[in-house]
Amino acid sequence: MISCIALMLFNFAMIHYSKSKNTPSTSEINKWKLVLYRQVIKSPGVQPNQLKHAKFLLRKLSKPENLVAYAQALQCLKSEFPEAYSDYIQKEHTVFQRLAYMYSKKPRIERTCYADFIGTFPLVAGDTPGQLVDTLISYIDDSNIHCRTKVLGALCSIGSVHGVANVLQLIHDRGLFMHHQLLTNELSNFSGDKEILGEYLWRESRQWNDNITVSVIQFITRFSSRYRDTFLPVLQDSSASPEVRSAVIRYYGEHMYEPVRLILTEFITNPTDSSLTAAAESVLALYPASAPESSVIQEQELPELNWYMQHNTRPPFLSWAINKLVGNSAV
Amino acid sequence: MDFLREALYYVSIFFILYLIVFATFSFFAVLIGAYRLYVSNRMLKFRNKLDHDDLPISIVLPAYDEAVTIVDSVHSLLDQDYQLYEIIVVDDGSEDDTTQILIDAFDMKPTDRSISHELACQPEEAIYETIANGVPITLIRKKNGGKGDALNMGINASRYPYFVCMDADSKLQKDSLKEIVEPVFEDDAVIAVGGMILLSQCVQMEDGKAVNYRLPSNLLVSLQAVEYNRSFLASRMLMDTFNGNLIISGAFGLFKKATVIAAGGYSSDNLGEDMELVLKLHGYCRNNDMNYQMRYQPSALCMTQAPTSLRDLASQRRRWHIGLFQSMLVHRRIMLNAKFGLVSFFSYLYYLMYELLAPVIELFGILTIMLALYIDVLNVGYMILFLTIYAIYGAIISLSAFSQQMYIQKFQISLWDMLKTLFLCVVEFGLFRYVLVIVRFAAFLRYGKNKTTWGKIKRV
Repeated sequence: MISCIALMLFNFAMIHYSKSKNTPSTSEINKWKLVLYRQVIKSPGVQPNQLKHAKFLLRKLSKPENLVAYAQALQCLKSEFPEAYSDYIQKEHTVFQRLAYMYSKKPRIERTCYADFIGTFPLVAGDTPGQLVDTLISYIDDSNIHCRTKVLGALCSIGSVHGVANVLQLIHDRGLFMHHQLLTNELSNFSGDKEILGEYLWRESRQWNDNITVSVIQFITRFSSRYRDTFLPVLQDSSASPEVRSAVIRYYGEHMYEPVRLILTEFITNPTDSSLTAAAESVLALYPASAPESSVIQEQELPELNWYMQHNTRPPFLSWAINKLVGNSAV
Repeated sequence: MDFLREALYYVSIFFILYLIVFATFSFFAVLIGAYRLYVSNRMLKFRNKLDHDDLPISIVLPAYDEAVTIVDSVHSLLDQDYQLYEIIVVDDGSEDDTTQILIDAFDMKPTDRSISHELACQPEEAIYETIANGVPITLIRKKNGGKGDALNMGINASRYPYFVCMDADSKLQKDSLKEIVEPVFEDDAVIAVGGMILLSQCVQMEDGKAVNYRLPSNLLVSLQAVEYNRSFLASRMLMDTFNGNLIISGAFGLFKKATVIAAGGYSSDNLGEDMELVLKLHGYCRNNDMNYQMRYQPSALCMTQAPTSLRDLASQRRRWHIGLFQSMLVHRRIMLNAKFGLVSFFSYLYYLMYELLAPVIELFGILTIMLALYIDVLNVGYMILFLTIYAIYGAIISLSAFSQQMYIQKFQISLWDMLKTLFLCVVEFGLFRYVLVIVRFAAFLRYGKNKTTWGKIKRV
């Protein structure tokens, strides 16, 4: 009974304690700000000691709770003195590399935290040390979705094509779960040349599973209209999976291409898969009316067509919007 | 007479052991609970930075005669602080205007979208779609088939890899989806996550967030609140440590769609379809040597209405108990089966002895006391002392669980609430549970009557 009362008191004490400890306190952040500002703002007669600062960072930042407070102080520096921040990040990149290695030996959640840190404060593209990228990729060993997402996010923030492709390859090889929506969202934050990344990923995606391929197509859909011809054979390839073909159809919704109109119409008139038909319907509705095709559709008996295609003359905005929001679930 | 005395002696030994095991279980439940809360609190500062809301989720909301609450429920779901989710309402052949009210409230349009029936269920009669607040809503009107059948239809219609099942009268906190999906991000092996169920009568909501917790003036609801904390929070957190939970409440749970479909989905002829599914998933994963986890996430809040009258409460508990009986009977091969490890030797036996058979055992205990009193072998003073200590012990356990609940949600507790809770804990442990014993015992006796119908309570 005494133990139970002690437990109860423990809980109440924790309620009180946790109120102040869930986020780094202002004083902790201010301490870090002081350290940072002393290091980056040049005062007459005072020469910042680079080596001492590096050692201090390595010692302190190996604890994730310090890393969280440091990140907030660094954010202040970034917004108040952007140039000083850039210089600082470049100067300290070896520290971040060594920390990345130290964190690779830590539990998942701490690795994830560090990947998140790198994603928030990426090294300037071009100065990217391969060692950091390789260490981040190694985080994928024994990872969870959180960790994979943050590692991919960090590599995208850094702008490493090789790193991003390697992570996707590992996800494929090990059969790890990452819904295509998560992949697409992270890829969209790629800070380097998206055309180069898109081209590389599309080339590699032939060997990856449909889920990753869909994410690559969705990523390309968001920024490039150069794939109209490239995707056409996939659209026509009946051996390709419906998920991949649906993603291609939606690409043609964003980047209109007149030659696909007939193919899309075919998906409606001769339906083979309900997801393809639904995607084709919604995308075709966005294409400017073309008298011959419209009349062809209306003249036929099309029991599979949705209510709005049969009864309405207005575009099936609802279906298009639902398809756009919902996408397709490849898993 | 000697035989009777000897029999009573062995019966008393059984009951002492029975109570010691229960007291030990309760103690470890709050102990493990406190430790886990401490660990999760340490991780909170990192987790705040790792929030994700882009794993697509389908919310399946089965409804039967929910015209009074359904619009409010859907509205509460539209306010979720989550990026990518859809809502699927399945009207299981309601006799009231559930479908029409939803169509009018959200300006829904009919569609002839096809649904693949991967899980067997009654056919759809009409499908409607709309988008509200950027969230796609699908309404499926189908032939009546029961709650499990309606959930199967919702799963068939869902477009995302994970689905959340809910009761039509349940409401979520703004961050509930974000919280319930968290274990999936933490561990690839997670196939199901249970949320924390609170009674909506106790929770004050502001801007989609639970800001305060008060025990209401209705004694019956207050007693249920205390009972929810003790039985649900503490015991589920303990069983969660060895992946041994046998129940994920139908009021709020998240599941991996592919695994549920592979296991066969919800049973449509079981009153405890939520428990039956969890047992089925244990069986499926163990038989296929899968690495799997079913987790309990107490920070994922769901508010549900508690029955306010004894009649409604009795009806609810009767359904729960019959559901428990049906589920455990169907999956009886789990019992004492080495393949199931602690799920078999701890969780299943616990549910068998302290949930399913508890009304029989406890009533037997009361009858034994009366018999012992009658033949004058009962030490009345000792018995009163024993029961008093046991009641105080139980009250402290309940209070510990209550304090953990307050801790998880960061609710403020006034001294008055503390005293009121202490009083209720004593009443709950010393009186209320015996009322429930009788209700659950009656469930056994009336087994067979309306055993697959939707449960209804009076909505307020």
